[in-house]
Amino acid sequence: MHERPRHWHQWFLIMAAFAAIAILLVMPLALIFTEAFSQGWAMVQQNLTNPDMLGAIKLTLIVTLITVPVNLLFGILLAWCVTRYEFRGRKLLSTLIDIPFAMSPVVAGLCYLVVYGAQSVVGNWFSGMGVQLMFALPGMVMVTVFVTCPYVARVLIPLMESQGQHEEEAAIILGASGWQAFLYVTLPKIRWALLYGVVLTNARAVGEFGAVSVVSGLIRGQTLTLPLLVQMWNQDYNTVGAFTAAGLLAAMALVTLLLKTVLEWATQHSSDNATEQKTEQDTP
Amino acid sequence: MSIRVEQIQKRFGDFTALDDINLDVQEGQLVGLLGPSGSGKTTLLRIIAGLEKADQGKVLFHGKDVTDLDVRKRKVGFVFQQYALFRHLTVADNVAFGLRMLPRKERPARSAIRQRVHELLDLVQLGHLAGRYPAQLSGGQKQRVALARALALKPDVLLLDEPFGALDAKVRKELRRWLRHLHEQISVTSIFVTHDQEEAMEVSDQVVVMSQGRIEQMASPLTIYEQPASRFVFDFLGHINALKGHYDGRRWQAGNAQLRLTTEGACPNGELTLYLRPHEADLSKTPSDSANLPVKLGARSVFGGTVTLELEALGWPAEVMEVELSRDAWQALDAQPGDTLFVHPRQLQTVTCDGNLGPRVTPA
Amino acid sequence: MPLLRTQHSVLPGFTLSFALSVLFICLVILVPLSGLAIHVSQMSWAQYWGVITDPRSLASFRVTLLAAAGASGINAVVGLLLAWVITRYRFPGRRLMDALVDLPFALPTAVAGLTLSALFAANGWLGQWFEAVGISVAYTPLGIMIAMSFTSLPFVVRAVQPVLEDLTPDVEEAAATLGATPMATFTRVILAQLMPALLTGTALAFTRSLGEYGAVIFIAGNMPFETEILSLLVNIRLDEFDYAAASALASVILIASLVLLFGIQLVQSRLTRRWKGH
Repeated sequence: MHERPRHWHQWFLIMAAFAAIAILLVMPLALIFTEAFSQGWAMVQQNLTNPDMLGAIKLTLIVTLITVPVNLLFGILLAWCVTRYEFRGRKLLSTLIDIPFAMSPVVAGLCYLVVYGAQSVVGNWFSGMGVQLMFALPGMVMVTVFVTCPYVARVLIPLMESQGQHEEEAAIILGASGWQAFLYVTLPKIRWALLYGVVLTNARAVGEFGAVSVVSGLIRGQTLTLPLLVQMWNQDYNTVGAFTAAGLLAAMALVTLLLKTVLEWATQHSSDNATEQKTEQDTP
Repeated sequence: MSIRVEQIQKRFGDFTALDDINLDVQEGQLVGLLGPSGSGKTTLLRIIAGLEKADQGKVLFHGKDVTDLDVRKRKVGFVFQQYALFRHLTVADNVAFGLRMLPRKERPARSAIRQRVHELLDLVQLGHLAGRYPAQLSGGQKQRVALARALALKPDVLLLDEPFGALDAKVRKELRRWLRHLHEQISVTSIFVTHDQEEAMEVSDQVVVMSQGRIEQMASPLTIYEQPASRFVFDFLGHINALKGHYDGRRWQAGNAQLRLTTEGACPNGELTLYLRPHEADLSKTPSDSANLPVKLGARSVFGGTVTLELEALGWPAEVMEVELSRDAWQALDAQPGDTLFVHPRQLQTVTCDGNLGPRVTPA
Repeated sequence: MPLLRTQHSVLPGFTLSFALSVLFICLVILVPLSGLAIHVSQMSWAQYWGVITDPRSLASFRVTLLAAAGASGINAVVGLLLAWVITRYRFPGRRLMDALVDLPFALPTAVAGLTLSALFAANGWLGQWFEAVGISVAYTPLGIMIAMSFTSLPFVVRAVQPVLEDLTPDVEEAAATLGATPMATFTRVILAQLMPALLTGTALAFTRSLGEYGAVIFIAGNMPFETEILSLLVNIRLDEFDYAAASALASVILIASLVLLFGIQLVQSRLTRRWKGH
């Protein structure tokens, strides 16, 4: 399939692709770091140790650390359910999970505000118990869970579908319990994909902006995550500060890309292994 | 352990996969379930294993009803079509899996497990590959690992789903002889599924021919071949030539071709189709009193001791026929493509107009 | 749950995984969605219609739709180009290019918005060149379009790439032996087979662009009637505590994106069934 380009028009296409990548992707990325460092290293350090920045980093980490395990667990359950059983509504279930992908994050935030806000029945009940859901950490976690819930399931479902369930059936026939079959047979088969799903969930959870901005209330030092801080400092004309926060997030994005590439390779490699035939002569 | 299947029914939506299946397998036998794809043979195997639930009917092992018994407690060994080896475990760990899943008090000691795995791998002649991963094995080797894994828990019943389906022709042949031999050694009651007639005939003690969710015939390979119970069975066991014509009580006729047949009244006058197996006919350059089937010699192919000839009917309606001669007979015939020859059937199977099998007849 | 099951499976855990999955989907996805629906249904039709046909709302519909359409168009072309080059040719930097395509998915949208607005500002690295020929990008609808095409670029590439990889060269060779020119081979054979994937990818990019918020608000300038997108208007109404208006506008985006989502899935499953023959 792959060939070395021979004709001038092939080189032209490649050059055009490089130009597109450079303008659309590389230059924006380079600009972030250039701007962040435009006032020197000392300024970067000062920005990084600013209490607002530290608070935002901490809040972002908390939100992510709650979101990722929740969606990991749910993603595995859903993928197991959808790929291992035949039941009415199976298609519907795997379609519903796509809704967060298609929805505008602002609309998602609004939905949560309407249902769990202080004016609503649920929100009212919670505030009676002394728990504030919206414009506070719980609400930010809730919308982040919403926005990122499809990732793990979406990565696992096609993989588990293609792997089939004969190996699990074999384990059951050999006396394994359902839990043992999952732990010793399914989990090793999907571990790379699972990690891949976690990386994607993590990147989106850290970077979510629209939905979180609606339910956070944008209280300085309290409900600002890193992406919200970027906007806040940009509005304050603290451009270098905004770019420093952006630089942190961009660094995370680059690490994500690296991990993603490695994990994609690992997933492919392990499934190649499974379909690979004949490496040795038969000697019955 | 004997297996008995009683009145099994299974539907998938509108599709009837199995329709009133009854089956008896004697202890220690090796039984082949033979049929085209979609005939329900794999579904039947999975129901016997407990992987699938029948809508109706019972499965009995040694007279004991196991219909509702959990798969784990049936003591069956199952070999999957694509082997379903655990790809992340070595060959030895694959074989040991079942032993390691046993509850702690029944589980053998580590050294005993290692010993047992060693024995099993020796049994399937793979001791030297214990440390390999499934991806590093050939198809035939994977097949034998799957077998060793299934035998590890000393099952009462061994079930194999298309055990040689994914292998190439040469390996298939070697492996099925080996399976036959292995079965003689361990003599566990076994059922295997196949769509390959040759395989079923060579390996099995008993062959069960299935079609469209029903059992057409269950008998020894020899009986199946010599006394097929239905047109389907006859059709399914190797190539046949179907000759359509008309019967008047003495003569069978199609265009200018004719045969003198005695059916002793078993076949009514009227339409009569004759099935001719390729190896049950001779050729000569002249017609005889009893048979006048003129043909033109077409392509020929030589393979091993037989020569397969394609023959085109001359002046009577029939599809291109296929006849097999021994090499000696072919040389004695001394014919060239394009020559006119005459077919002399040694034996024919009659098929009456209602599609049932009639008696076997000989032109005289 | 024997009523639900259409086929038996020996693997245990159906009840547990099914119940928990459904519970999660209800709590996280369906309850908030129906909350919005209930909220909107409490408005009278006249109220609802009034909010939606308000001139400012109409202007924001127009800006959002046009920019999203433009961005999807750009992405259809650029995405096809990238997918083609990455799958067809072997050249230094190919793997890097392949990895970078996913950058918009990995980079937080706020960061993308911030850097794009600086890049295309009148004195920015790229903006100055556009300015020189009299085109302003930042704080204009053009800027919105660029931000949208940035965030949705990977959709087309990732939709087309696997199909392109599956297209075996023998089909092209067959076309060539039948006397097709390279151009005819491309349009009649390759493009025809890529069309479903290309359309799916473009539709996904369009859906994403309709709802894009973070990247856009930095570069848009957010002038009412001119560069104000629908998501921003929702947010502005929220800040004014006008939940009714916000919900009404949100319901429009929501319905549009759900229709697109289910439409895409329907078309996709039809096509796979036809092409795979079952």
